[in-house]
Amino acid sequence: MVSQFKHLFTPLQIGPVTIRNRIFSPPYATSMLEDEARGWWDRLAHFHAERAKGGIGLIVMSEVCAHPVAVAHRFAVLDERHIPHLRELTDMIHAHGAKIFQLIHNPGRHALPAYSHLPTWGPSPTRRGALAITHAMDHDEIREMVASYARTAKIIKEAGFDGIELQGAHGFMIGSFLSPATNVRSDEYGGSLENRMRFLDEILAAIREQIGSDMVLGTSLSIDELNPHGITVEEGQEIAARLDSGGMLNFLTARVGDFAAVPIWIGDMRVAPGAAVPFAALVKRAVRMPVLTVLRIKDPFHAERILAEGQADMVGMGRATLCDPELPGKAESGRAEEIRYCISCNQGCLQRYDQGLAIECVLNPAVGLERELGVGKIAPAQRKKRVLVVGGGPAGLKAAETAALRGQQVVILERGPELGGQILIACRLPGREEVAEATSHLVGQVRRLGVEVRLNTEASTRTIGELRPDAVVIATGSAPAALPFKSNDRVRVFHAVDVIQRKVEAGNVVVVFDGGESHWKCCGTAELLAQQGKKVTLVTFRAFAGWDLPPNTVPPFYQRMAEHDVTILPFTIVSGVTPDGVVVRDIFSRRERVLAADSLVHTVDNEVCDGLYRELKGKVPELYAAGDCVSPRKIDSAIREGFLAALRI
Amino acid sequence: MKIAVCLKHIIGPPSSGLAGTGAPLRHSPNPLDLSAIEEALRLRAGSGGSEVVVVTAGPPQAELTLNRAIAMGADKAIRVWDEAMCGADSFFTAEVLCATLRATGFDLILCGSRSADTGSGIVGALLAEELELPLIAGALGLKYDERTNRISADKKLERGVRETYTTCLPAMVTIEHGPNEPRWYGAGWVHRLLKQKIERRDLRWLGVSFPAQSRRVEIVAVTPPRPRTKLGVNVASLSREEKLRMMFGQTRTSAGQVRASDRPEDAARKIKEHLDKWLG
Repeated sequence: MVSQFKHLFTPLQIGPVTIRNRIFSPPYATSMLEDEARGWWDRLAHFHAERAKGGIGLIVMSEVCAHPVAVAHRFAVLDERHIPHLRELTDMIHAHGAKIFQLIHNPGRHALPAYSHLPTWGPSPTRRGALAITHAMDHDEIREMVASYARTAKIIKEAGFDGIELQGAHGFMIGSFLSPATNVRSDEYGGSLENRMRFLDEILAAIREQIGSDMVLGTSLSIDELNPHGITVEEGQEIAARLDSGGMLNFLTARVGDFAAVPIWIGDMRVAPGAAVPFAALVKRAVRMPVLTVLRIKDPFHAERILAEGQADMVGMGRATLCDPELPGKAESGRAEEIRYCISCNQGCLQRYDQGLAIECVLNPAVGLERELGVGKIAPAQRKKRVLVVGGGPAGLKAAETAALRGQQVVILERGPELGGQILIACRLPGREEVAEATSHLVGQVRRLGVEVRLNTEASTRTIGELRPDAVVIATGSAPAALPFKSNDRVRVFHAVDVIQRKVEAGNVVVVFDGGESHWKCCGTAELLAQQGKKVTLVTFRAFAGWDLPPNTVPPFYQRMAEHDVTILPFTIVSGVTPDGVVVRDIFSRRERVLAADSLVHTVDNEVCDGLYRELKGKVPELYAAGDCVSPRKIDSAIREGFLAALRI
Repeated sequence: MKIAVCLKHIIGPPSSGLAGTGAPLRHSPNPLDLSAIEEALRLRAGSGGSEVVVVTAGPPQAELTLNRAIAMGADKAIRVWDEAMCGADSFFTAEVLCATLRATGFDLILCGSRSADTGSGIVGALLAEELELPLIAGALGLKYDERTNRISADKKLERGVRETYTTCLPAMVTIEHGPNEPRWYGAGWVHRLLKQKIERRDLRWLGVSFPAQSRRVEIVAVTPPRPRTKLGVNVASLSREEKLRMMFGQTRTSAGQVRASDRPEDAARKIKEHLDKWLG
């Protein structure tokens, strides 16, 4: 049988290195770097080895920056002490047949002084979109920086990496020299394109001197900074073409956007899949070296088409393989329907990274725990037990899947007519359809694993007793509390979930109240109502609407709210409903006023549905509770607790 | 001229990601059938004394589609249904439509060239066969010549090559997406919706008996569409705003849309601005 992924699994030659297929993991920082006692790189080694084992062709690892001023989060400035640990890491990747490149990162103007305790360095002394005002590098400092790139490259070579990628995009150090928006120097490093490229040219020459010509060297590049003052698409192509004819590089990763465009270049599910591919296709016409593309490519069928159409030579599937390390292997062996697709929620990866925490994945609770809970490391059940899962939401489904994978006999009881729990509500918000894949994958898994699913079945102590389970996992979820305000003749009060499920139709002038949830339930409801053509005021108790959303999701959300003419009132609560409208109160001045409206849509907090758990306590041999029935939270907690409960059975 | 348009009320995958979860399916008119209604209404406008009759074989929800057709401007709507028809295949659907069309009479029959849910694409051909009519499949636009009583239709082939067919009436034509966007609601739609009753018929009235159980087909799984990147987008020729829109997967901006809460004069201004822009 001819594989349906003919192009995807065709090896690619990048300089002296042959890569077994066309899927690579673009560099993303994990903050998983540990301390010296724990061997620094051990956790990361297992993390990346898991992806290598899953069949990926190439991993480009992040975590390394060129110079102490470039430190942000847990980036490491390499020295000789790191070499033996990194060798172990690269050996583990190579043992699985994958190749590994090291990114030399340097956030430059966007480094974080909170971590480095140093000023940020850049070409010119501006703030322009960065957190701090940049220290303009003088010639000595430029030389020092170039030398530190070369020194880092030498260590990377000694550590057994197959190649090096430079971070040349998104207005970071190299990008800020390339971009006329941030480089306003009048010396030989600023002005003309040739001058702006000088810094990069010097770095390339210095690195080549250290690593020779037999090691891969590439760079990423913002082909278009999407900034009227920055690198235009014509200039981006010109830079690519010059780098190509310079002969120093073996590959180019075509990226899009300056730093401010991060809502696009780490796009959530609102960004079109493969949004940067047309830019890669443009560069591919301008250069001979392989062109890599990244950005929200999560589906091997999509990836195959990009390659087949010649739009790029290799596709980056970073978050996709974070979510499912086995994605390449599943595609290659004809099990594509088993892939757990990334939903680009950015909650486990990007949001945690921004909080300074090690990244995780909302759908893959084993991220960061590959040493202990990676693929194939989950112990089969010692004795086959009859496991009863009550509730077919994400927690229950994950528990059922994990228990079935361990060889247990599993039955799911679901009260409603379908599986999915509150995901069925969440995915009905505008632009949030992909959320449904969180549970549709699990639904497929429980079907494939032969889990018995009983829909429209209410569980009670009696019915559970009749089934004689050895273990019961309660995942009965949560439900919205009663509305705190009553409707009157003129103003009606609704539950947000009812609006989302189109069970009710709000009036034409609506106040949406976020009492602290500050996530998609309130933001998405406001957007849904605005899309329905209603005049919406979003009242939030927080400093801004979407306070708990991944940070780079907020600006596009505010943009859409502006387009829909939605008014957002921060630091405000709803204190009452009168026939004239909705009474709101500023939480600091405590001043009240009435917003004229005909409806209030309230995102009431959920309450646990734990009655069954309480009743069963002490009456069944093994009892576990997972997800919202313990405390109403988000999907990551549900999935993790379902997973952990099933591991304990 | 009596133009009959066969419609299908389709059952689509829930919303893209919900497939496989058993979530309620989404109901909507078959988009190509809306194009067929549009063609019928255009023909009616071009020749005096014509009538557009819309016919569907489907459950009560299918009246949503018939109402849409009435709102667009159809003169008469008929729905045929019997509980026994659940899961009937294209052959049986064609048989039922055939009997209905024979009862109502027709000069020209139109339908979408295939449905967006099952997509067998054979109902039009089966109707032509059963009613012994000439068939033009996959037409983009229709013209009627009253003098010769002939209909002519354009078809698009590979790489944009076009053909023009002509045939005498009565005839069967299946419609592809052409240049004529289906209108939303036609003028006077409220009045029409209030006035027009949908005629409901069952199999006994038609004299059609239900075939063997073996003729039933069933949809067991619906999977969402796969993402793809549009080929040949020349980003170099797009403005920054167009690039952002493209990357956010939007085809048009939502700004300036008319809201239910708008004052009438604001709504009128927005509509005028839109029309001015649209008409250049």
